[in-house]
Amino acid sequence: MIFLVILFLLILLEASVTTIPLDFIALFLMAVSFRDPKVFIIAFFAGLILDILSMKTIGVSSLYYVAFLFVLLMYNRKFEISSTYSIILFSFFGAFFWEISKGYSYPLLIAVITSALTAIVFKFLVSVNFINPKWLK
Amino acid sequence: MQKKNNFLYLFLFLAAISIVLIFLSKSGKLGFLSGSASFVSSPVERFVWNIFNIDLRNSSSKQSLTDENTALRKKIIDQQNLSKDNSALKDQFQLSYPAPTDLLPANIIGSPGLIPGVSKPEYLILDKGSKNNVKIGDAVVLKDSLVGKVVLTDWYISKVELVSNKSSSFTANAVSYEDGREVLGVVKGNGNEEIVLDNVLLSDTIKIGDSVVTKGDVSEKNEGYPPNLIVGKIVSVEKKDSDLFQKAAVLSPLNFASISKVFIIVK
Repeated sequence: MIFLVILFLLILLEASVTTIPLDFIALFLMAVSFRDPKVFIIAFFAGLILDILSMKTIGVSSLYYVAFLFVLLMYNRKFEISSTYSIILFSFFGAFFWEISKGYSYPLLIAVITSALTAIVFKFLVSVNFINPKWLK
Repeated sequence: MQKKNNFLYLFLFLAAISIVLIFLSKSGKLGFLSGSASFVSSPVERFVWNIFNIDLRNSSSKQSLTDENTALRKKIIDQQNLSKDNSALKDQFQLSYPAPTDLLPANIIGSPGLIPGVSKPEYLILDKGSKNNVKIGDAVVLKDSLVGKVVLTDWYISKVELVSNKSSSFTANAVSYEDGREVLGVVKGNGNEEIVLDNVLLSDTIKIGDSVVTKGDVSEKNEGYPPNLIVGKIVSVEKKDSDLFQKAAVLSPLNFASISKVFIIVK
């Protein structure tokens, strides 16, 4: 539940003040941590709300999030997606293509910031046991 | 394997719904959904924007205030905001052009940029929409300077493409108030702070310091920029004999990251 509240606040922030994909970071971390199909549904609705608030074509963000999470979770079998390197790599490319698709300025810089932010938040959540390391195995 | 299949079916189902929504949204059949959502979201977005869009240039003086006068500070800020709003309204309505009767004051409720309050926003979201007679193509100004134009409207909110946006392009004149030169060109945004005046004939003369104003391209539907709105001032000129045209960098008098109120020219 707390994740959903945080996610909604991040969507509001992304719609009104920043181009850093904050809700993408939250969804990414949820997917990596829980690996549950429910994340797809949350991502779908998060995308819808973001599109409505930021006056974008409704459905585009949902499609991107759902497709990205699908690719991410499909790689789960081949790579350890919760390793720091994988988190940095996936969040970098996810954010980079996201920024490109939105036509925002500085996509590379934002992708670097996003991947760094994702890795830091992930490490922090594991260190405070908000994400149980056993879930990641 | 079962879990993998679950992922696949759910992904395909949600992707299909997303694609249907995209088509419905593109064809304007979701206007009711986004319109009613904008009624609820507009005040929330404004609240969030007001909290996070801090003008960092004033942060040092704000930090020096102590905890004891928090309540007092809140009152002062409220009063300052009111006075700023009043002053913006007074300044705007004192101008004879654009005519005050055509102007609709609007608050900015969203301006996503890399760093809030510092980076140039990608676009603006205003708290006025089609229920306030705002139409796609309406010009948005602050005093007599051009901010951009409305590219999307919902019932209670609208989206403004800034003049510096990559997809912004319109005809403009470079005007010299010293010798009366008037040179035609095309203003294009390049995605960052700068605006470019391009397609200026090599035989024409443009100089640093010339003002760039809109030529006026209002269509029969009353969409587009009216003439003589200030776009900015020329800060550098690039002229090569081998090129077909010369171009100039134009700096807008407005700091798009720090404005909080604009005016929509509605007719």
